[in-house]
Amino acid sequence: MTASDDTLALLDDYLSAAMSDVHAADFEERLFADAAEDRAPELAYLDAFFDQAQWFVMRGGFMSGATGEQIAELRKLPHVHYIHVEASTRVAAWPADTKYVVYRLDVDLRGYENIDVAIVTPAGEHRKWFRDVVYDPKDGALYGACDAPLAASTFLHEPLIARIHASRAATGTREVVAELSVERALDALGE
Amino acid sequence: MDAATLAARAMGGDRAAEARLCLRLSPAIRAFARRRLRSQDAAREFQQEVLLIFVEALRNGRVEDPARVAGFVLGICRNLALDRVRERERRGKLWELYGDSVSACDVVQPTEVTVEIMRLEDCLTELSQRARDAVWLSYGELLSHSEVSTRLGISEGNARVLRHRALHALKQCVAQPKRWEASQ
Repeated sequence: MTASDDTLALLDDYLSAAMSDVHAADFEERLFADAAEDRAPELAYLDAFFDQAQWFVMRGGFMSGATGEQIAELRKLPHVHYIHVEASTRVAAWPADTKYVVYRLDVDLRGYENIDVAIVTPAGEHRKWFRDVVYDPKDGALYGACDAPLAASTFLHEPLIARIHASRAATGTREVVAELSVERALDALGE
Repeated sequence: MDAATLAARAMGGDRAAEARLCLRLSPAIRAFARRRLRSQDAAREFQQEVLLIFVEALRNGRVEDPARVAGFVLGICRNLALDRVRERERRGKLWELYGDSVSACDVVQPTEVTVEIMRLEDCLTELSQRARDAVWLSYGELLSHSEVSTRLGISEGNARVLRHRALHALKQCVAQPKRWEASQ
């Protein structure tokens, strides 16, 4: 992964100053030569990544492992929509000018660790993982936030189940702690 | 088209060739600046200054060896980095002369969420919390390598490997169209 011909790793070393100035001087020669010849896809990726990361800076971070307090603060802002996800939740469409959707998954994960959330369809088809999720230690609930278009695809596109896998901190036993189902309310379909 | 040809054409007055060269070299110039400067604004200002000098050199035929145009621009970067105390007035004059040409190469900060940002947001959720933190501290908070390892409470070597793996995973993940894009 970090072999000397791994350009992405070298670029990261260069940018983070993990690379010494002596090596950086050589690396810069290659960096500029490759860029001039339009053969630097890793540089283009990392350059775009920098700017995309600044979007999250404006938004306040990646918002993984959000707390209830952080979500409460976000809810005070304009164009933010809140969803409370319980065991079985019907989500209505939010206002068209919503920029940001914040949510609380109604679980208590205190006493658990290594928490992953699998998103599956009711038929059992896997959609995605949320890895290594962090709960709010005050109430054990999971809080999160994402941009409205992405939230729409999660909450409004098709019925989904959030299956929460975690290990008991005391025994290490791995188990499915909770399953929360979400589907689009009829009013969201305009029916 | 190779860089030498572009440089030769640019010096012959081909503005499109000049613009392509600037666009190609801009990510490298930004990387050079980001290694040395903490803030995004400072890096952007550095990039603009390098490009202003480069465009001026092209238009005055001062790139002696077009085949070495990448090294020429790297030289501008190094000279500027050595000479941080520079005349603001000169920059203002150059900006008046060549500002329109250079501004096309600027980074455009998105004002609305883009598909690329949503893909990144989606992919970030599949990383471990520690990997997300490593990426965030490095590319969001722009902390140095040693500061990141200190904040994470791990060795510099471990922080480095963690970040490399996360960047590779994200690069692979964001390259794949997501299921939700079909519903956009």
